[in-house]
Amino acid sequence: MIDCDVHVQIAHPEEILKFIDPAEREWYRAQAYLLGLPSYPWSNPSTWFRSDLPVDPDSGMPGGDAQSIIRDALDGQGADVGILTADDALSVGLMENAYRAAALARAHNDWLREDWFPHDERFRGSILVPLQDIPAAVAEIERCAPDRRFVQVLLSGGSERPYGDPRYLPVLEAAAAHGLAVAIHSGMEGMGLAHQPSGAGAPTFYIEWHTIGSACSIMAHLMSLITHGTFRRIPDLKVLLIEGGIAWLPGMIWRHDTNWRGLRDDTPWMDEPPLETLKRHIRFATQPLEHTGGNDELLWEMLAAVGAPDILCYSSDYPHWDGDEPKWLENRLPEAWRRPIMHDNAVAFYGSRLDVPAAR
Amino acid sequence: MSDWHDVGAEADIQPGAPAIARIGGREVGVMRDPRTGGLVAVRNRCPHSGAQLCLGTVEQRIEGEPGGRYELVDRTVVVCPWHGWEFDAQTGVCPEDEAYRVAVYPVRVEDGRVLVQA
Repeated sequence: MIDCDVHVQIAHPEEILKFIDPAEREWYRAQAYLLGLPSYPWSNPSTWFRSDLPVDPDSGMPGGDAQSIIRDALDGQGADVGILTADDALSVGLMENAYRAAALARAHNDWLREDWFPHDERFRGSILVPLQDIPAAVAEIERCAPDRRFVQVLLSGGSERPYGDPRYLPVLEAAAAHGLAVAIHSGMEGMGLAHQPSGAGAPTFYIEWHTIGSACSIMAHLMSLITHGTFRRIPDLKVLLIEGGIAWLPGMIWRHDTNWRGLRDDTPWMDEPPLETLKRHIRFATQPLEHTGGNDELLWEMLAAVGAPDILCYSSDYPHWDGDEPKWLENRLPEAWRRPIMHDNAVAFYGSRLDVPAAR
Repeated sequence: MSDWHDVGAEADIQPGAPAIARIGGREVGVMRDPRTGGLVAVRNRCPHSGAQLCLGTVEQRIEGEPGGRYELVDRTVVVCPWHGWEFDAQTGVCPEDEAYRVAVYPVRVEDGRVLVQA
């Protein structure tokens, strides 16, 4: 099994600050929220985390050190590879201060490389970038790319513009040039520099944000990347969409397919239906796979029509409260979909950087 | 061999003013191509969802490349009034999906009258 979304928690901020120049550390310590990262006005009413996991005694968090994740997410879930993704630090690209963002992204990347990767050969990582400053973001990709345990560049769902906007091209090009995927993880909508989620203004409750805020940003990036012709400009670009849901995809892509012919004068470079582009370049992490009220067969039929199982890669979202445990998900899937979704699709998608360790 | 049919006076056919005639149980429309000044004759039924195609427009095709580059190309398309699907005025084929094709007919002008072979 390959898990495309294993979150690392910053249980001890000083562990990251040690990778930041001493002249800057006090600034990060003095910020109201963790290291100056923009955070949520919509707080989970109970807990962000699965409450059955052992926690770090100081921070009360699970997943704050390599040994916890090896025990809970790799051994515990039976993962051959766990791709580490930032958690709170996903918002680094939305900090108002681009210079602090660049230093923090760099430190988070160094932290993964120095304090996590050496502990287990099954760890792979995601590169954070200061997306406020495109040249700095490209430079950070160039700096990290030689370490092939980094398999993707991680961007947040919350953003200043949808990622097909030409300002982002250098970042996408740098990732593709190094054989890195670009992962867009839902979240951080409405935080820092990001626009409000929903398209209708700020929601009131966490459940609203969690239900649509995170899905809408992923939809917007998906549509933007395809419509701008991004994959014609960067044929090697591959994009993983994480935690935005999947059941909405048939409706949205069929709507996009319906429109592209009639509206083509505005985007005449779109030379095929959006769904065809999606099938070649875009993958979806499975979690949170929607509950269907007993209509799973209908969901499989709908998803098959838009390219499943090939477009799906397993993700747990460890250690979050809404994670999908691998055995539960695998048993739910049609039998013929299990192996591709739990393993093979990620191997094909990530290519040689994944370099799956031999079975234990 | 199909017969030639008189569908109207050439001077009456202008952009936005097609001539539409019933020929052998089907409607055929003749439209003015503003790019060449010539005439195009197509069946008056969109193969997508059945609109009267000849109530749409005849336009010069726009092509493009990613990055916001647009180009008017040497190709005329008939654009359906309902959903904006385009059909090549010479071949009747929808460039975006060749499974969709509208019948096109030879057209000529004789003594100010428009003749369609259908």
